[in-house]
Amino acid sequence: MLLALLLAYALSMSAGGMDHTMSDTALPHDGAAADLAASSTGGQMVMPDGSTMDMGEHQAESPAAAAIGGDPAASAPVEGAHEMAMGGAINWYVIGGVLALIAAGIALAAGLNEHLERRMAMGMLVTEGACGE
Amino acid sequence: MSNGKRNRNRHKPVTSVPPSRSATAEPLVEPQPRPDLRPADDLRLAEVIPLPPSGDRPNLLHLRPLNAFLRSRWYPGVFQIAGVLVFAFVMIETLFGPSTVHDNAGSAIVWILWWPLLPLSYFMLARFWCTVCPFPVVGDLLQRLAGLRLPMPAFLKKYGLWIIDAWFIGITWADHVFGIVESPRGTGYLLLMILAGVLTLSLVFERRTFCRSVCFLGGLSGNYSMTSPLALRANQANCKDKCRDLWCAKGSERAAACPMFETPRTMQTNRECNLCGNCIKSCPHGSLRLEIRKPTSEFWHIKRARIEVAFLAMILVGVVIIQNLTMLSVWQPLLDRVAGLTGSTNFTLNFTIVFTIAMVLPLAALALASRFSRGNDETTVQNFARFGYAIIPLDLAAHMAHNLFHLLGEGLAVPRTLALLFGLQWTLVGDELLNTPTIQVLQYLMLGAGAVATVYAAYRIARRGGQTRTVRALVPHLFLICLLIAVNAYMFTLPMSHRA
Repeated sequence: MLLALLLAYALSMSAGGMDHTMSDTALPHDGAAADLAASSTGGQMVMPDGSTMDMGEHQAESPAAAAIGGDPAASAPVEGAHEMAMGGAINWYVIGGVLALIAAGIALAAGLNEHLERRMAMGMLVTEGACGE
Repeated sequence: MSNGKRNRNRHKPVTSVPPSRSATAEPLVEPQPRPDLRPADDLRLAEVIPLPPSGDRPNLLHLRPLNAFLRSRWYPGVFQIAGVLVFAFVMIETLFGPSTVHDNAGSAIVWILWWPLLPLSYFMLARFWCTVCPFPVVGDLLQRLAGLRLPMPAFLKKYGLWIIDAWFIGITWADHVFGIVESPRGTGYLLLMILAGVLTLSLVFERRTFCRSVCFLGGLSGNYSMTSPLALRANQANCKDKCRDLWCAKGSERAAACPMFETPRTMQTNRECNLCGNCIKSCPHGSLRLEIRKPTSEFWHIKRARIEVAFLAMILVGVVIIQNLTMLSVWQPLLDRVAGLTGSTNFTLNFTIVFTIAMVLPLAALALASRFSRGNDETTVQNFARFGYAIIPLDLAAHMAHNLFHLLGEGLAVPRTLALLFGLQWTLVGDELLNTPTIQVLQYLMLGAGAVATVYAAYRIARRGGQTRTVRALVPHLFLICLLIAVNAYMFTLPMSHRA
């Protein structure tokens, strides 16, 4: 269910659901520098309020961080883009959707059990004896 | 895989067998006539349902399509083929694809999609993943072609779970020291190492010796699958009454023996059941039942608590803490402080110290709680083993909450890297599916659910064990549980770094 939700959400975003992020940043995507700079997210913290901060020296040693050559200027535009995408208010629709999915799953399981119990009570399902050899 | 057609022919409709109550069977609900259904309808419906008898509680195998699918030759083969194909791609990509984790589709699939979804699958489908897992599937094939099929060594039988625990700790340590997750090649070599281990043991020993006694994920999957609402069990009254041959354990011409060395007839736990369906196919009496139960209810029905399981449960607490810590902004200052104490800037040394403390502290805390909790009729170790199970729901919740950040905060890395790999345009900036505040609410909801499940499990365990001293047995463990919840909740308030 969660996978289906993610897939649906990803598809909706691919269809333009996050246009604001793209238009706000207008990053070049054909250059190697921009691609490498994007990997700087591997060395950033995402704050609860959506802002980002640098991980520091240790993270700079990681392969992802090494790929950008430790150039803070190269990653600067992407930091801004990331901030835009990760900030914002809580999306209660998504949380409501997830809770509804969980409730639906529980209801389905309970319903299945109920359905089978009813059929057993009606004598429609044999509850003991051999299947036949 | 068994021959589904032959299997169906051999199992006659149960309605052809006269019902005969066994002496040990629990009282059955007497069939009640339904006013809106004519007797003829009942009879006609009953005649067309070729389903097995399987006890007095609801059995999902009474759902005819599910029953037919689980008995068919397509189960679990279709899932296994898909798993092998996906992981073959992943291995090739991690070993030969882009060397940066940001651009490697194999790394993204493993660490941003598969790994975060794994605990969820253990909860929802118990150890079904272990049946689909491509490594033993390849091992099974090799074993069929050239396997020596020696019996599993006694020491593996006896110490298998300890070996798994040790492996799990070792791999977690190695991940941080060698940067396995941060490097596609590291991921590729790890997968290769697992494949080599599986192939070697499959060639030498029978069935899935690797999965049962060596796989580092085996302990994790065993622990988490115990929380699952889905369980495969036998109708033991029916088994006692009809079975003399243990088809479920030894196999038949319809399906192989249980790959996990279990005897489903007496199985009381999800720990070692892969839901491969072999026993369902093999049992000629239709005694297997697939049931939906209360999640985590297995913990307070454990007859013999195992110290290895409780040990791993507490180790997992430490693992989640260390995984969170290394992605937080407090990590570097913490390492600097340890470096100041050791007088060395060696990362391996300083990390190992923090790692050891993170592993040992939860164990010591549970041991202390057990010391105060135990009564005169049990030892501290017994109490430790019994209440260690109660921590598993919190483990699972904290693990899933941690992984939610990767799954929802970086989920688009999977389609992005795949698009780049196949030369397609990818115009979105950022890999997040949801923003951080939304993910945090979901993390807290998950942690809350785990906390409630853990507290309730501890209460039921205390009530079952002590009987007369439930509160005294429970209070020390409640303190520990509250502490663990607080630590986890605090860590999820802190800013966390991304994987890809």
